[in-house]
Amino acid sequence: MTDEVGALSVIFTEFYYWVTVVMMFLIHVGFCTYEVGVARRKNLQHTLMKNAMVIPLVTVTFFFFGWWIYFAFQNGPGITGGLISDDFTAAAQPWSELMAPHMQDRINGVFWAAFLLFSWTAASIVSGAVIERVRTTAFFILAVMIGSVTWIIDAAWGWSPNGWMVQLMGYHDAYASGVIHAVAGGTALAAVIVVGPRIGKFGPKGEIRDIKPHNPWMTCLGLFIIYTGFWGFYAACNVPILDIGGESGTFFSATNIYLMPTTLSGITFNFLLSLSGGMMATYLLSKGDAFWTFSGGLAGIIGASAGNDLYHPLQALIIGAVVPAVAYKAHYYVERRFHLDDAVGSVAVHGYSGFLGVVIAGFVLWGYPAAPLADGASPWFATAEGLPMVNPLGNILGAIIMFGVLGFLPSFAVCKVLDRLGLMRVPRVVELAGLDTHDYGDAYPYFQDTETAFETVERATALQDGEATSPGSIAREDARALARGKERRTR
Amino acid sequence: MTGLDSFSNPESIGPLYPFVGTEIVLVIVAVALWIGWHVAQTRAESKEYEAAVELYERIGLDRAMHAGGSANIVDDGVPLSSRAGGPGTAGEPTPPPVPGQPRG
Repeated sequence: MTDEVGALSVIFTEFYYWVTVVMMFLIHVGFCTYEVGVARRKNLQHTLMKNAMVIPLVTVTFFFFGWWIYFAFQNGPGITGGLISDDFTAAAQPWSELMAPHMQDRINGVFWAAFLLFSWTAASIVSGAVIERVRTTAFFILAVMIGSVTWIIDAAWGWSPNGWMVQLMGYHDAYASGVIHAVAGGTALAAVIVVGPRIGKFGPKGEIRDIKPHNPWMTCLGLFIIYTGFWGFYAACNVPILDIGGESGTFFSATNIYLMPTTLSGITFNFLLSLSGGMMATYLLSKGDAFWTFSGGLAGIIGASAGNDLYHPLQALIIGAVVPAVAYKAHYYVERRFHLDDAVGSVAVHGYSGFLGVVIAGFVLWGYPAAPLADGASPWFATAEGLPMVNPLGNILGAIIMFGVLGFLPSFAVCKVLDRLGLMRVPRVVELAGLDTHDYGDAYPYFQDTETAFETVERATALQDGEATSPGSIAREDARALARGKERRTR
Repeated sequence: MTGLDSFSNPESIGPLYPFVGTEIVLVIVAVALWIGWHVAQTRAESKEYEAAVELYERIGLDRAMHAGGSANIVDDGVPLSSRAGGPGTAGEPTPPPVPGQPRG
């Protein structure tokens, strides 16, 4: 830090990431607002606190081990090499002097925080799918799992210039269609399957009931806020200034996470055009439904994100329109066919859109260099210069790894264990009475004496049909809770 | 003295925090606090739900819902089963109220 230009470059980079972190904070504000808007009045405080506590729990665990995983797991380990131990992994250990204020380091903290904010997002995506019936305990464990373990493993593999998926398969996913959204969608899908639908969501003949949000305006406002935070997310995925060489020897540019060139200006085009495509498509499909139009905008960005560092804006527009349209149709097909109750459409907006976005980028960007060649790497497909090449096979397999291997499978296993332990779902009577009723009280006490139309349906369903319309785990939970209570009293 | 006593030679300064050398102890304490927090939260939530299920089974859902919270519920200790014509618990049919109307 003794020459002025060098110091300015370092301090600019430090400040750049710091600003992205502040902007990305809005994503979590948006998710909390959105989920609370979707939840019914009797579940508002539980819904808010479940998601808000992602912040401290994922932060501390990302400090303990998440950041270290990112640098240590880039070879698998066991796929292209062993567990990595170098200066980066040493700096990311929780007891490292560089994981604290240090006179000779300006980057570790802000870079750690940028990745941490991605971690919150991944966990928060899962939160919305299981609202109004999941136990907070179970969600906290899932949040730590995806926020500080599974998503950061996939980042090490597919969102780092030296990750084995990048070096071997040519995987390309610049703004995290798969790395954040597909993995979170896969995690949410498994959680939705294991936790089961909300009481009354599906009638005795399989009919689907629409459970209305308590405040649709709050829901849309939340999505608007998520859009705003997404700007910070895009900027945070870039390296703001880097010498990328070139024939003259020196050429400074912004790069994507793989250290391949892009520009902040270019991704600004693409962010807005993919948002526009998504909103236009889902507005038509949903006949102007506010929830789906806003969600479609988000799905449009997510669908184009894998290649938004390089797409033409009108390519981003078209991809941003096609992906949410498919996700919208898939959401209702899955709901109808498999009776899965994804309360906010997380699996569709993030999971299906992210998956498709990665697959499409593999075709559209076929032949582009994916990253600088790492020492000893031998890519399946290489450019004429010998660099790993973006290709459809690499991205199709990558999408499966993100959604299925690192998203769905670990979540399904953990949720099954939690279900066995009786920690996955709240007791039936607690769900019927409302998750706020015992713990918090009514969030809107001035309207407490009115029964909503759906509550009548919900109670009638639970009373008349019992376990026929709800998973066995619900009734089992009631019995377990009663037994535990009696046991405690006799002690 | 807990750490630095001068900033006059910044090139030679490393960590800025006090008690350098205690990092591993700090990590061990923090990890223990984190795990302990999860255990305490799980226990507290389980107890909360046990108490809620007991209460709702005893007084019936009709009295539990829309009371503005369990703290406002009048629990007179009379079991529902001995209450003639009383409201039903979960599992006992009860006529649903009219949507949108105040509950009596």
